[in-house]
Order: sequence, then C-alpha cells, then structure tokens
Amino acid sequence: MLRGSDRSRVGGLALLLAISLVAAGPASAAGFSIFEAGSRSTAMGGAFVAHADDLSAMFYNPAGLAQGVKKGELRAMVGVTLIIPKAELAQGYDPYPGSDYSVKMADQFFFPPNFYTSYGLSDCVSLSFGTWFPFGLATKWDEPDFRGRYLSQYVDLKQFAAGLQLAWQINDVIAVGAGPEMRFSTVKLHRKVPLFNPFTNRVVDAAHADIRADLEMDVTFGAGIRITPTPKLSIGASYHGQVDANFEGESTFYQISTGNPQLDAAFAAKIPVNTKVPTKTTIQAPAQTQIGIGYDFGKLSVEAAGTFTEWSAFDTTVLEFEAVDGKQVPTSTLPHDWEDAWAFRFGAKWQVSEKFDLMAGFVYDQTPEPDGDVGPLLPDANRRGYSAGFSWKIGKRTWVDVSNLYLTFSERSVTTNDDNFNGRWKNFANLTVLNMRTSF
Amino acid sequence: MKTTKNALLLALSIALLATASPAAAQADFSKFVAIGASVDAGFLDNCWVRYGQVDSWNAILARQAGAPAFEQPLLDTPGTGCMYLISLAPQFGTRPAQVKPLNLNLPRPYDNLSIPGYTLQTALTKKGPSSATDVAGIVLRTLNATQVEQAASLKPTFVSIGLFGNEILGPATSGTAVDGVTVMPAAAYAASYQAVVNALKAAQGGTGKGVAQLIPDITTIPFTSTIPPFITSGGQVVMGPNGQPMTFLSSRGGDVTGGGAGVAPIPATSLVNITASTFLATGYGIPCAVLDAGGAPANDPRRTNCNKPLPDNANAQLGIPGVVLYPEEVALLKARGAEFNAQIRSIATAAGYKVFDTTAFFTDLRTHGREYAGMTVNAAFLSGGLISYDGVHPTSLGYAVWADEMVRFINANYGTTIPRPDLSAYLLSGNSSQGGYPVNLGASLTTEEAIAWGAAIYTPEVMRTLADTFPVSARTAVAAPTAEDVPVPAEPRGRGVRIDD
Repeated sequence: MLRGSDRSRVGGLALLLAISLVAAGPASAAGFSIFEAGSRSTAMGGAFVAHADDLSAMFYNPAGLAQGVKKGELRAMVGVTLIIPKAELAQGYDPYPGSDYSVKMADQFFFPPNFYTSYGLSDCVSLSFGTWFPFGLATKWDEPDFRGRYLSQYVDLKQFAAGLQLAWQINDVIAVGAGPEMRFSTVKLHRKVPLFNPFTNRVVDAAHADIRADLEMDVTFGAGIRITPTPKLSIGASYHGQVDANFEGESTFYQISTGNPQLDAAFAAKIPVNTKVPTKTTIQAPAQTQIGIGYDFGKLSVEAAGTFTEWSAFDTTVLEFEAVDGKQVPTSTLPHDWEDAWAFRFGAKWQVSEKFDLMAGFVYDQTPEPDGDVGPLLPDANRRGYSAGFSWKIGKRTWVDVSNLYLTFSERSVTTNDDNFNGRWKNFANLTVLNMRTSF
Repeated sequence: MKTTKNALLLALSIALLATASPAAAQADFSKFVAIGASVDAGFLDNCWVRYGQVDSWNAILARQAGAPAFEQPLLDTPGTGCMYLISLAPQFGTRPAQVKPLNLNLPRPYDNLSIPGYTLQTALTKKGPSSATDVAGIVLRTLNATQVEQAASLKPTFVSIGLFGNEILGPATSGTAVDGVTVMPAAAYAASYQAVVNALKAAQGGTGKGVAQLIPDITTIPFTSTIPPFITSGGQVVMGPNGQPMTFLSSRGGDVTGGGAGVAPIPATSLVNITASTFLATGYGIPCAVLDAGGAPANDPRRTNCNKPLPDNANAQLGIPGVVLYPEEVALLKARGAEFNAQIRSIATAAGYKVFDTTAFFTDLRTHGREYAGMTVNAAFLSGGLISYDGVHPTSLGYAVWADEMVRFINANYGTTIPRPDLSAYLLSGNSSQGGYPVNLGASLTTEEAIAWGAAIYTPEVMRTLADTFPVSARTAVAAPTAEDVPVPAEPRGRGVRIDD
C-alpha cells in the first residue's frame, strides 16, 4: 500500500514520469483542448479557477498555489487521465460519402499524465513546477476503404506543458501567480493520396502519406489572480497564452501501385515517392481565459466558472512540402475558420468527513468548429459533461482523488462541409482521472 | 388490360406523391420523358452502350425522383464501338461494334428518346432510320413517329429537353465553321426549337413542365482545347526567331488534299482539335526545320509530312475532318452558340420550362471542377475524370455530377426535395454497374483493335496537358503550374499496355 511510505511515493513519481514520455491525448474539451488537469477539478466540472485549491492550479489558476503555503514544505501531486473517445459517422449524406454509408472511429484510449510540485519559499510565496497536457487531438479511421481516407485516416497531435510559477498571497484578499510555460508539441497525420485512373475511370489510392513533425518547443506563460473578499467567497481569473507551433518535419509518400505501371510512373514523375520530403506546418494552440466565482456554505462548496478559448487563432493549416529531386508536392491548405468559444462549468463539493469529500459537476462546452470543418480530422460538436468524484485521505498527508467525466456530444448533422464530406456525426467520451496528493 | 393497370398505377403514384410531399406536386415525375442527343442518352467513349446508358444523367435523375418505369433503349455490351485506353501516350483502342438492343420490344415509346447525333431538325422530322446502320432506328423503331411526336404521345408530366448542340458541335469537331454553310443562322435554330417546345407544351396541357439545357461552350471542351496550337520539342515550347512561341502550320480554307490561302503558322488563338494528333504524328503542321533543330533522326515518322499544313477544313468526299479552328471560326462558334442559347432561354422560359445553364455548369467543371472528400475531379482530358475518352461526352462520373446538379436545380426551381445521388459509386467504382466501369468487356484485344484508334491520338503535345495532372489532395486548389514547371512524364514503358483489372 502507498500509505505513509516514502519509498512508495518516490516509486509512484518515477512511474508517472515514465508514462508522461509515451502518453498521448485526444481532445476532451471542445476543439482539441484538454481541460482535465486534475481529478478534483474534473469532478467539479472543471469549475476550479476560483477555488484552485490543489496543485493543478498551475493550469486552472496559478494564484491558487499561494494557498496554504508553509515555508520549507514540499507538496506534490501526480495523476493520470484515462480518456476513451468514441466517434462515428452515423449516416453519410449524398452526394458523398453516400446515404448508405456509416463508419465508426477505431477504438483508442489515452492516458495523459500530470505532475505538479510546489515548494514554500515563505509562508506566502510558493515556487511550483508542473507538467500537464493542455492540448491533444487523436482520431483514427482504420478501415482500408474508409471514404474519408483522402482527408484523414489518422491524426495524433499532442502538446505537453511544463511550467514554472511563482505565487504570492499579497494579503488576506489578493493572491497572484504567474510564470513561463514551455510547450512541447508533436503531430502526425496519415492519409491516402487519390489519383484518377483513366484506365479504369475511378479514383484509386496512389500513395499513403505519412506526415510527421519533429518535437517542437515553444514558450508562453500562465498567470492568475485570486480574490477572497470574505473567507467564504472567492473569485478567480487566469490566462494561458497562445502558442504557434511552427513544426518542421518530414513526410513520406509511400507509393501504392494502381495496377498500371504507366500510371504509376506518371505519378512518380510528379510526386517524390518513397523518400523523405521536408515538410513545414504551423498549428495554433489558442489562448485560454478562465473566470469563476466560488462560495463555501460550511461543508458545501460551490463554484461557477467560464472558460473562453480564443479558437479563432486556429484558422488555417498549411502543409508546405519542399521540392525533392525537382518534384514538388503541392501545398495543402486546410481552412478551419474556427470561432472563439465559451464553456460554462458548475461544480459542488460536499465535505462528508475530515477524510472524505464528494464532488459533482456539469459542463456545457461550446464547439468552436464550424460546419465547414466538421470531418474525419475532427468531428467536434457542442458537449455536455456530467462529472462526479471523491477525495479520500489515505495517510497523514496523503489524499487519493478519483473522478469520472461522462461527455455527451450533441448529434451533429452537417450538410455544408468544405470537403463535401457530409453526414450525421455522433460522439461521446469518457474520462477517468486519478490523482494522489501529498506533502513532505 | 395492361393500360388500365398502368393508368391505375399512375393514378396511385400521383396520389402518393401528392400526399407524401405537397411541395413535390410542383414537379410530377410520374411520367418523366427525355428527348435530346448523345449526352442526354448517356453516350460516352464515342459509344452508345448499356454501361453508359444506365447512368445517363436523365436515368439518374429519374431514379432519384422516383420516376416509375423509366425505359431506355438499352444496348448490351460491347455497344456501338467503345473506345478504351491503351496507354497514357495517349493511345486508344475501339471495341468491335455489336448492336444488341435489350429492350427493343417495349410496346410504347421509350421514356428516354435521346438519340446520338440528333439535331432539332432530325428530332422534328425523322420518323425512322435512314439506313440499316442508322442508330435512330433503335429508338424510333417502327412507330412511324418522330422523337418529338413519340415524346408527346407519352403525355409527359415532366419533360427533359436535352442538349441540342450538334448544330454547333459538328462544325467544331470537323474544324469547319462557315457561317450559313456549316453553321446555321440563329433564326433557323430558334424556329426549330420553337416547334419542339410547342409540341411538348401542347402534350402537357398547354404549359411546359420540365427542364431545358443550354449548349456548353464547345471551344473549351477537351476535344477542341486539349492540344495547344504551339509546337513543342522535348516537352518545351519551341520559340521562333521573333521570340514568340511557334505555332503549327495550316492553310486557311484548305483541306487534307491542299488548297487554301497558303501554308503559314496558325494564329496563337487558334484551336487545334484532338483529331490533329493523327496528322501531327506524321509531321503535318510541323516545319521540317524544327525537326532538324530538335535533332530528330532521319527515320522520324514526322519527316514524312513535315512542312505540310494541318487540314483546316473537312473533306467531305474523303470523309476526313479538318482539325484547325482559326480565331474567326472560334469567334463565330462562340457567338452563334451564345445566340442559340439566348433563343433557348427565351423560348423555353416562355413555354414554362426551367432553363438550366449548362454552359456555366461545364465552364465551372473546367475551371474549378468538383471536390469530394479530397478527390478533385474536373473536365481535363483523361486526368480530370469527368470527360470520357472521346473528348466530348462525360464519363459516368461526369453524368452523375450533372444529375446531381439537375436535382439541385429542380429542387430550387420546383420546391421539390428530390434526394441528391450518391456519387461514391461513380468516384470509387467508375459507375453504378456491378463491378464498376467495364475496363475489359470479356474479349481480349487484337492488335488491329489496339491500333485502330491508337493511330489517332498521340504525343508530347497531349502529354504536356496530361502532365498537368494528378493533384495531391488539397482542399484549396493550388495555382496550376506554368508550362515550364510541368515535368515531362516518363516515356511509356513498352507498348500496348494490356488493361486487365
């Protein structure tokens, strides 16, 4: 058992760090943002910016890290989110992919970890370091005859944040916190390249495009303020900056025989196949603002919060390919035209005993994605999430937090997709978040 | 007995239509009848055959609109001599023609009465085949009534007045546009069109219900626009001493036997028909000096006829077409086409028909094409997917895109909710037939077949257009490469690539 044992704690941390190197994350908040940076916050529907009373405050509100600081005390929190996303094109529409067509996204699951630690520099100033996954997108359509295969068969985008923050409780009323954040991103995209075969008068797969970027590092910052006019009332606001990840990487166009050597030769004369093609693209991870208000009625605490994500930054993705051997892959431009979006979050916590808290929450998360962009790359929709969880004190200074968020997506019927890939999309996702908190 | 049953069925379907969808009452497809010419019959690959007919735009529209028993004069494979592609050179073969009607005994006129090669004049006057090999006989049979009369006798509830464009296509494809001789005056066209519309309107109770087609700009179809007028060598345009690109030689007004105003380079705004490739292959239209400068070997087949002009006009006796449209011919065809269209628009609209802008539609297919989930298709020859091997008629995919456009047009104009067709079969399988596009009709190819059309089409000129091909999926079109940017595709490997799918 973990209880009380220093050795176990250290073992747990090592395990979590190991996981963080391999984990991926799909979108679990609207767009491709991941809002589940901690278990208690997730249990409260993500309404956590005003209370911000565990180390996941690094994501929700850096000012929250000034709460309960003791000089010389080291606090730590580790956890993981298990994300199971489901998506399906319940019915295609005519003229394409056709009203007799339906397809389910391949089963996947993800476990982005989080890790936070904070040290008391004084009784009112803390220095914190933490890592979490603020963004992630993963969709996979693995049927060979998937009718959207020329758009996307597989995308895996992840962004990992590592932040260093100072928080200062200025007086009884005001606390502030801020610090730089490094963001590490990678992206992979697979799709087929179509070719009209004039011998058979049909479109055939001429190549499998494997587009991948090297690890990209960018810097932004996070900041927050927390105001407590009375001990029961808290108001919080926080901000994390935008990152434009300027990826460099390489693509490989693995040629697929069309069955006609002449056509294959004509294609290979135009496209550099089976060789590495230097590739560039930029993906914007938008700025995010949170505001919220919390109130404590004795054993019952409540919070309402709003999250504003500046998704309009994610307007176009341009994939640029370098010429290789005098052959040029045309630039691929994907207009997204996303819109800024709000999410509204409500959470409640009931302190059952000194050692046990129960929490529940609700979130309404508006999609930033217009109909034109809803497709295999990301079929997003407005979401309603229902969450519940508990915190259990298992040691003198150690808590275990468990929560679950069930995300339902509005069914989305799209007739005006930019790529003429229309239909009725159905999605849902389940997220389970586990955390352990302790102090030394 | 059967008639009573049909009448009952008809009444029932009208009643069903009326109750199921009040909006659909505006367009009643319980008796849908189409007249027109080749493109309305589903003609493709220079061939009239079942696999094209079942996906004629009229047939797809009938299926989508739920038109009961839409009967067509189906011709079983191999059809009337279908072209097939042998190599990307490009080189074509022709299947042996075998006319095998499947539906000859239908005891009433067909619902799709469109006949390849038809003009307004033949639609109004021809009551039977003019010879044993006249394909009109397959449709008209022994009913002793014209196309228009047969259509009227069906008492259509919805009419498709097809694309009567042979009046302008003929002069274009024969390279011979002479006003008042090969190109008829607009007034004569209008008079015939009026007669067709009057007959149909009368059969519909005095008010026309249906759609009419305009004539596309035939100076932009692959047949007339694939081969540029410029001479190329090694994939590069040959520049003349004045620094301008050199053009092919022809003799204005002459034909394959000579004559005309004298051999000279054609103006750069001339059109060179796809049929010129036969002549270019043996050197017609190319100055011998260009071959010398390009290092052509002594046995280059183009040395046979270099310095001789490409035939401008057709020679009727020999049955050899002209292949050059001089700028004034292009201008005449464009202007007359526009005049015909103005007449169609005014006459059909006055009678109550809705006029679909086929001209704009085809121009749009050529300039923008269509994109379906990353698959870009357009009207480019061979690579575009929408125009068949003959360079004039759509592929089944092209017809399906047209049908889709017609569904949307009818829905917009008649307040109907006809479902759009599913294009996935056409994009991914070639057509809606079992197993898709018939790339091998069962008979293996003989050498004679392979070279029959193979002699026809050729070379770097066409190849250059072909090379402007194969776009990688890109949602936003990328600027087309300039001539200099287009790599010369690899030489065909071996000859007579067998098409076994």
